[in-house]
Amino acid sequence: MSDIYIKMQEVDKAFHGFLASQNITFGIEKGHIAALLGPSGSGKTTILRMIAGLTQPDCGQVCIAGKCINHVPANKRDIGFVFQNYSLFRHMNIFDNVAFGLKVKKKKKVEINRRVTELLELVGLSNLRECYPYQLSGGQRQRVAFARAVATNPQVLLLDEPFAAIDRQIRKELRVWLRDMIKKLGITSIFVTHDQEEAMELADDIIVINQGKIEQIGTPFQLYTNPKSVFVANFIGDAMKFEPEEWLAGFAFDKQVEQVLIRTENVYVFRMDEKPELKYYNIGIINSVSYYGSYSELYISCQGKSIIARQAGSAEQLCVGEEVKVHIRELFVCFKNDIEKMVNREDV
Amino acid sequence: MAGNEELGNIVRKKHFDAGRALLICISVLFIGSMLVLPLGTVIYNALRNGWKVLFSAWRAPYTISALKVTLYVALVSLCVNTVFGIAAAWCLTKYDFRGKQILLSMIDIPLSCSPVIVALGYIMMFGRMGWAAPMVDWIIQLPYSINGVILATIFVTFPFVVREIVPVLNAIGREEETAAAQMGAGGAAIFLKITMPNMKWALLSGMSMCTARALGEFGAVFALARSRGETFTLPLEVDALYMTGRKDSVAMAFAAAFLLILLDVTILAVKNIAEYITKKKKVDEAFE
Repeated sequence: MSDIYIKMQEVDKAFHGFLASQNITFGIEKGHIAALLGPSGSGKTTILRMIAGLTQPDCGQVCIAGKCINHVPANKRDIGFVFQNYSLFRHMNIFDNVAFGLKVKKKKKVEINRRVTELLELVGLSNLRECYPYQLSGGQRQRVAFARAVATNPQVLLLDEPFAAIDRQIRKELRVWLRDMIKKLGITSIFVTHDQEEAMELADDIIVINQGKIEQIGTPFQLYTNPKSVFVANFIGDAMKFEPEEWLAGFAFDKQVEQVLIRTENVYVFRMDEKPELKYYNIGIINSVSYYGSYSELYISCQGKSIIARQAGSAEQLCVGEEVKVHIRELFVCFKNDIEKMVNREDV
Repeated sequence: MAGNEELGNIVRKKHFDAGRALLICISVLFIGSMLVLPLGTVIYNALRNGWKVLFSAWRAPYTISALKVTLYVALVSLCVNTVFGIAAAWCLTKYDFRGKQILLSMIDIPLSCSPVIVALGYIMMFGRMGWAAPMVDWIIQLPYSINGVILATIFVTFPFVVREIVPVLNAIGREEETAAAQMGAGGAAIFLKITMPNMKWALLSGMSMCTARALGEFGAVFALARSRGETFTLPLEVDALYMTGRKDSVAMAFAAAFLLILLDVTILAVKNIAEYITKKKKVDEAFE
């Protein structure tokens, strides 16, 4: 971790006695996109606002490029901010919105003109420069907000729930666009989201926040395959929860185990006549099948429990009522304050 | 709007809606008899003797003085109330503090309390025997001077600017200002470039209401103004002329009243244009 650009060191923040952030410590490398991921009310926006200087931390340090910026006012921090609802200036057209930061910095008119034109071209809104925010779609507004935030060439870009105000349909498309755009500019960015899918897709690093504390920091791959807490295992990716009982073939649990989490992709389903060499499996009956094209989801009842498994959409489809072998390859066992991966005896 | 239409569709009967016709009749009759007829009578009486009489009445020294005083008082109280109104609206919408609700309701006092009472209060405070007189006497003389008239008018017209812009500022929220501040804009730039453009039509509407009220105020001004030709405003002059009972004086009273009506109509027009523009903007924004 050599090239840390944004750093928070043991930062605390309380609002009226309520601890919104506790002992927040993390570092983000230059040029990376980081996600602050957590459920609503977990304190992720507070962290973002402290970096931006819109909220003052009670203690700890906020550093950018190796300098502590705790006492630098928000407008001197060289940070671009995309607000949750974009906060575009409603009485200004798109050109003036993007030009605002440059005008405030008293840049020359020619220079402002050149930069704004360049930015509008970059975000593909050149033809809408005379329009007002209310005439734009959600996606277009987001692009304007982005262009406005990066107009003054800030070193850091912060985005507060950048996709919250956008229809589900075009979110996916915009995510790719935003990621490409940030990478193109090479600007170190942090965005806040409650959507794990969004975080996984966009971010180089994810910082999982829960109840004002950092649960885990890591790449999407690390978080998914190696969650360090029950919360992370539950929050990143869907997991089925079970009591630690002895019915799962191929596993034996300690007394301290409180819960067992199984991810769908670790559930393997075979026809009764397939895989005769398989030793550890449970027998289940298919309750229902939902076909999604590229895959289908099987709802299997197994020892009185309901298990969800997936099957490739191109495979010969299993039918409702059919008896199948259910083999769990690996799962997470949860202890009181810990979580551990456990692999089926047969697959070790 | 859609709600109204729906309600109309439910309530409307096929042929003739008696209730609707009755309500319209009542409204028209009420507004006609209570507002239009009296005003019409005044205008008729002012114009009855021809334009020449009207103009000569307007040229009377007392009328000219009253017009000057009225415009001066209205202008000063408009300026003061605009500045303080914006300041009050600003602190009521942008900051959270204790007693904010109390302050908000106190702003309405001039609307609910008789102006004469407050004028009396001023006299008790700042008059010759008033307890606060020694404190202000050396700067400004208040009772029975133009300053007293201005003070009374400011009191009466204070709520208008505040009441017009507080809801607008609340609806707009603080987001745009935060964004501007984040981008490095200072307080003055934020106010002039972000807040002001967003509230300008509401402000203009409030200012015109304030002016209209300032021109027409009678009670509070009556208590604090004493000399005709010096501190009398047009409403007081109209009253003074009419009270003499002489035929020519009464004619002059109508002429002065007509002048006042002309001023008010001008302001009403400004206000309506401002309102029309605000509404049009709202409709545009609703198309989001």
